[in-house]
Amino acid sequence: MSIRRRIAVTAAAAVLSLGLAAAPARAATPAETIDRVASQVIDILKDESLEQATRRRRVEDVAYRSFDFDVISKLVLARNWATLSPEQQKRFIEEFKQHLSVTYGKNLDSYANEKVVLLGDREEARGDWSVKTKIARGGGNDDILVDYRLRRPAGTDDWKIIDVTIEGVSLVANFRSQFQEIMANGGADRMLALLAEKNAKGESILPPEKRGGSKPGTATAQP
Amino acid sequence: MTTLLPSRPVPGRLSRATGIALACVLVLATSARAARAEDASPPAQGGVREPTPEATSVARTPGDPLEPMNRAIFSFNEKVDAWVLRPTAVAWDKVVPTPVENGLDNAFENIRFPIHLVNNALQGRIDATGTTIFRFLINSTIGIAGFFDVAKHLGMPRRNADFGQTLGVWGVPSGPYLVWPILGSSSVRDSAGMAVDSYINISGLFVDWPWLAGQRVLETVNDRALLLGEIDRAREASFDFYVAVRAAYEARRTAAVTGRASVERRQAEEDLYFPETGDTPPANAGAPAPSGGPR
Repeated sequence: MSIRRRIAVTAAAAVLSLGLAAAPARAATPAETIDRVASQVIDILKDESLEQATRRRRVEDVAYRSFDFDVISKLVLARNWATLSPEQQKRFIEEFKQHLSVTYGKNLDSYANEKVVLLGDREEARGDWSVKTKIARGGGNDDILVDYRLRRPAGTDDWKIIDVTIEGVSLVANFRSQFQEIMANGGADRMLALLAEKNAKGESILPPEKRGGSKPGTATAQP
Repeated sequence: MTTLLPSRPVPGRLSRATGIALACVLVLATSARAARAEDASPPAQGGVREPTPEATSVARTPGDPLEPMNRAIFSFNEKVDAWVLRPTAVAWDKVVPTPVENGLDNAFENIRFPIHLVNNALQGRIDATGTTIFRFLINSTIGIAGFFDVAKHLGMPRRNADFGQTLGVWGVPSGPYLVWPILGSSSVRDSAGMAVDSYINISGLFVDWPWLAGQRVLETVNDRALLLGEIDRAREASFDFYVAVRAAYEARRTAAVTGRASVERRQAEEDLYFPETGDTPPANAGAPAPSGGPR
């Protein structure tokens, strides 16, 4: 990178961070929120000076700021949510968040100059908003349609992402189906054990029927 | 950024993008065929009848009465994938550059033009029918036997349709989820659709069956090669891959059949995003519009 470009980049970064600091003056619309998140993530992915681990962590930071994992967890468990003790709920939120960040973190390494294009937004039931985007991949690869669902936590001005729908498949709906099945067959303890086990491994696990011998309540899997 | 396009139905076109969908629809790449009817925009209010309430509940949560059999076939398919299809696709992917894989994918898609044409017409989608004809003419000529998707760059993306979808638009419920050996995810309705589509596909009139079989194999391997990373990651991200694939398949098929504004879809969204309005009175948390502070 030439000196001049480096200066330009630094200047841009400075302006950007100022802009971000000043941003709360006016709350961003849902579309602006998605636009901002997308460009923040792409800037991080584009920065080749970052090491893999740093890159993942930074993207994770953006994700933690932009997603409402409390709401996502409640939506994913739906009716089962209320059957969990407050302590189990807390564990679920943490573990599920970690699961998402591990599995989706892996996708980041395959970034190949994709661009995010906003296609439109609209108001949904009870004040939610959805924002449609597509990821343009170029090189003869098909674009990918990604819709975001946003909600404002009560008493705040900031929109948070509560679901991502990729090519018609909703993250919340898909995980809900899976957890429903697991809850039905083994209850909350089994589900939490599976989550912890998977997180500990950072890897795929056996199908539930094979049962990993994990006792209800014991979170971590033995290697 | 503020000049966003107005919301509109998403033009349909599936693709391997399915695989990228969080939990992918495919067990084996071939099931892309069945899932291909992607068009989220059903015909305008005119021709479609609203589903009756009973049909709605059946279509929305069909359950999985055939689960034991499905799971057995699913795990068979997973083995075929692990031992045969995936390794072949990996080898193919090493030799064939991605742009060529994409070109082949386009060409195979182009050959299926009669299926898209007939079904778009049967569903009363006039502009999709026109687009399908136009795409075939342009891509077969300028696009060199469909290898290049020229029409897409002229603003006419794929408008795929299949007979399973047509039946759905006509009000036929999907029936139970069904996994076929090798072919992967389907439903009773979509299986009938596949059979009809294979008649509509007139390639058989022009070439002998060994060619068709060869084409099918090549297509399967090529599709799988384009989905290598996606399927691996989807497997890894899921807790029960069978359920993940089933849910994704059903979501995509429902989207292909129902309109965004349909009663059915609104009900499903209500269920998805406001589950606390369900039967259970929230015991501890889960008040409407929960705020950031969990206990």
